[in-house]
Amino acid sequence: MLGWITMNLPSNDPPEGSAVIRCDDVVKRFGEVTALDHLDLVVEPGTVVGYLGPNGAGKSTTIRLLLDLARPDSGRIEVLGQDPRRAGPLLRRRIGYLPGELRLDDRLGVGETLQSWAALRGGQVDARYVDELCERLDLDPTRRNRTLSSGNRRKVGLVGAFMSRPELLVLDEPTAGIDPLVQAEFLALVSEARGEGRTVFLSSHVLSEVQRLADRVTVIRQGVAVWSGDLDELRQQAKQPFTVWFAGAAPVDELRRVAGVSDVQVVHGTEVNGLVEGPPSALLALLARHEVVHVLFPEPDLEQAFLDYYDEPDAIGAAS
Amino acid sequence: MSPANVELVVRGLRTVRRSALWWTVGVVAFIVINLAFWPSLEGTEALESFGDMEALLEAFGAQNIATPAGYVDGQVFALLVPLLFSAMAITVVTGLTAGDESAGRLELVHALPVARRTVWLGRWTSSLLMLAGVAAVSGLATIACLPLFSLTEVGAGPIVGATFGCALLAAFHGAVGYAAAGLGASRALAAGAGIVVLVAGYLASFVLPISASFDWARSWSPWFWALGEQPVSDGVDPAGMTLVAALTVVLVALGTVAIDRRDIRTA
Repeated sequence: MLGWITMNLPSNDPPEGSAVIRCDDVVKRFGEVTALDHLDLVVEPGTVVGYLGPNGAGKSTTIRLLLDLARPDSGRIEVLGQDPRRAGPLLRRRIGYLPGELRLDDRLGVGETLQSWAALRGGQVDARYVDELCERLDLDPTRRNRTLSSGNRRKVGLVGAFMSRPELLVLDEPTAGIDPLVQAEFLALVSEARGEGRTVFLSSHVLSEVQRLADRVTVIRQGVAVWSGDLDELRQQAKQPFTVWFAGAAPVDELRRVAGVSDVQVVHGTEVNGLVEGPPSALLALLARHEVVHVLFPEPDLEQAFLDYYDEPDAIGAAS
Repeated sequence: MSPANVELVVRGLRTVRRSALWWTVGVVAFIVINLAFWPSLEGTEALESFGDMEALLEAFGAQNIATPAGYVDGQVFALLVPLLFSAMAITVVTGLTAGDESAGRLELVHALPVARRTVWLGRWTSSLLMLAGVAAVSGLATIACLPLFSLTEVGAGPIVGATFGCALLAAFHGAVGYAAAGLGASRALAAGAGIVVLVAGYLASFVLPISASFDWARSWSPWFWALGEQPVSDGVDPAGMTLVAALTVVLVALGTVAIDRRDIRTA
């Protein structure tokens, strides 16, 4: 049933030292809670990798370990070939980071904040590029931080992450709260980074964002990387929601017998909601035999697809 | 200092500038108002009659309140200014360290190419500069008040020494908060640690020695080391001040080493 799952088995990993991010058997506990449970993760250079999982899965904890904001209890972490703790500031010069919970200092203005980050980067920031980023992301540097909406705060964080053109961008929920026009500009920035051979590691719940950006996806659940692979493959396998409006009574029993269809629910006798897993041709063939007024196949909810996957009791066993 | 170090210190100072202004206004107002009462109290029976309440006066460091230097000690430098300076230092230091960490404002700073210890030492330096500024203005205001309020008998030298002692004591209590913050305490806990040491030092220096059997307690108090019993009347002890300064350095080193060895808290 889970034959489509392909894991990054050790034999398929790039050789030591060539990965941009490598976590081997990493464990991180907070008291009784195990946030990362023998996590293995590999990110190859020049790729955009989506890091997906439900809240509390361990995404932000992983990212904090990569930045040396937290230390693992056991296991080994390498970022750009170096141990984050030992390499310290020299390694962080090569990384741009956007935290999931970005807290700006409300006592400062946007311009002051960006200047401060640039100064702390020790002269590796081109002021003209910062201005360009502000313009592209429609961010007014004259505003005070305390007057910014959550979306504008994330724009400040994005400028901070991109300002030094780092080799590795680590972005935790980068577009949360940002309006669609600016999201498009963000996607362009990430595409440019990839075009320049830089690596982007981003956690996101937004399917469209990951679809348009990521070359690969790693799914984390309860601190374990349970799936890693190509996004298109995953999307094809994700359960596809559908809604059909029939001219007459909905053929519910027939629908429930169609291969791959599940969770069929009837609304007002003529409207049917459900999920179809795998190729939808059998479902479409059934619909063709009935008088259908309207049909809707919304974009699959990738996270829901993963949550469905998590529900499979064998998933972890299959993955590990 | 590297540009990054300068940026950290300047940014810290800009963060606390408004707070520094209000602390300065408050402390200077407190000093001026207290000293302004001397001309109307000097030589009065009311002041002389305080001599009957020696134990109470000792608890406030005001045993010689009928003399000009004793009055400045009792009303300003023996108790209340050290208390105000120390409260300020604890508040500012723990705010810039544990407070900013708990609020998540250090998350991004610690992900930048600057060592954690550099960030924390920068914040300590900002706090120390703010303390030095408030203390300097307070000391100068006191010296300026002496001729205005018939206190010329008190020289500028003892005021400078007493002000420095107060600032040193405050730096020590700020360092207690800094060390606690470095070890991972929340702002409330770190400030609480500073306050506990502050109060314990006060009790050991002023209250316990009222009983002769606890006279030894005074020699264990940072208050006594930094200021003696009456800093303006008796002058301050350089050896005691050196001890306080050394303890402050040890506490700052402890906090700085500790922050390098633990996780940064999330908001």
